[in-house]
Amino acid sequence: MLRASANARGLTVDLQAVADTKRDSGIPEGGALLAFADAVTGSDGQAMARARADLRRALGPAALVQAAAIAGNFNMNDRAANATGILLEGMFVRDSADFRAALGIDRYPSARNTLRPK
Amino acid sequence: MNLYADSDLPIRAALVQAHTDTLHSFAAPGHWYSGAERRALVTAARQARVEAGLQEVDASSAGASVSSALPASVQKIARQVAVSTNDLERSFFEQALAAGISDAQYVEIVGVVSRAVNVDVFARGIGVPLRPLPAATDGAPSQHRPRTARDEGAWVPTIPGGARGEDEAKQVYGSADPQAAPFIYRALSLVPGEAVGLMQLGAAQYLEISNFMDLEFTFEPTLTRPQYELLAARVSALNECFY
Repeated sequence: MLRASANARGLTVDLQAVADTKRDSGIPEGGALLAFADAVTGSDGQAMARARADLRRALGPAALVQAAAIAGNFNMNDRAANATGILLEGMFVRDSADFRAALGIDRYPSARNTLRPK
Repeated sequence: MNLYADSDLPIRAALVQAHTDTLHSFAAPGHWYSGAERRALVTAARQARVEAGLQEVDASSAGASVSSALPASVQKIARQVAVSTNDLERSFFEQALAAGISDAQYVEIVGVVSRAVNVDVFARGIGVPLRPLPAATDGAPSQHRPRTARDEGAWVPTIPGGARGEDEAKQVYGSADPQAAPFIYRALSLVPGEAVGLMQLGAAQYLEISNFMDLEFTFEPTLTRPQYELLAARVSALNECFY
């Protein structure tokens, strides 16, 4: 959905930035968003405070709230998916093959469950 | 009272309501665990995340004992799911079964803890303390197991979408359309209340399934859909979630 939504806005996204956050994703304020994702999922309290302030400064208070909502939601979905061994819809298996390989996603332990033939 | 009255940030009413409902669901009887047990699951999850440095110190759960409410095998699952599911293999689920935890009980633990992590990560993200849990309400677990749940390839049985899920699919996914039931919605469907809870939070925080293919959809105009998706992709990469 990252690639599709970026394309819809005429943006060229570097998907490698999802794995290597030093790269420029091509998404406006992508650096602040990636730093926020890392901080809210990580264990460095000072980095969290910094990332929160930076994102608020860059995109405003309402965007900070929405970013926190998305981070919370995906921390939930990821846990539910990883802990129940669900499969991935065939459509997404097919359409994501190129960047899964490029980003090392196929090496995740959860890939062993999710990529099993149904 | 507004759940986030202590924050100066503009938090949408739908989000406040979804989180308020979620916290109350943790203290109410579920399908296989009582309100007190579900509340203890959240407390165990919070304690584990604080110990791992993933959450700031939580005054409400610090020192609270969960050992009398939950067997060690249940606490172990709750703590692991709360901290990290990156390395989980099917053997983790099989060990739960071997410890006498049923597949449905396992799903309820995963559901409660995953939803609690959602609300707690949100609190951390906006910079407020963890929200206190309501007092447990009395009542017995419903022990309701959906009759259409079957092996669809996940570790746990799930309610199929569409006609194969009969009325249960309609009740849980809100539609008889198979497209309304992606695998992430089916993940917790062996415990319908948990599946519905996950979907309600997703609809309030990310998007409703009906908006999924609308690539311009956003709840907040200052955060575009590609920005949504970049953040989501990075969080899922950190959690090593293939899905």
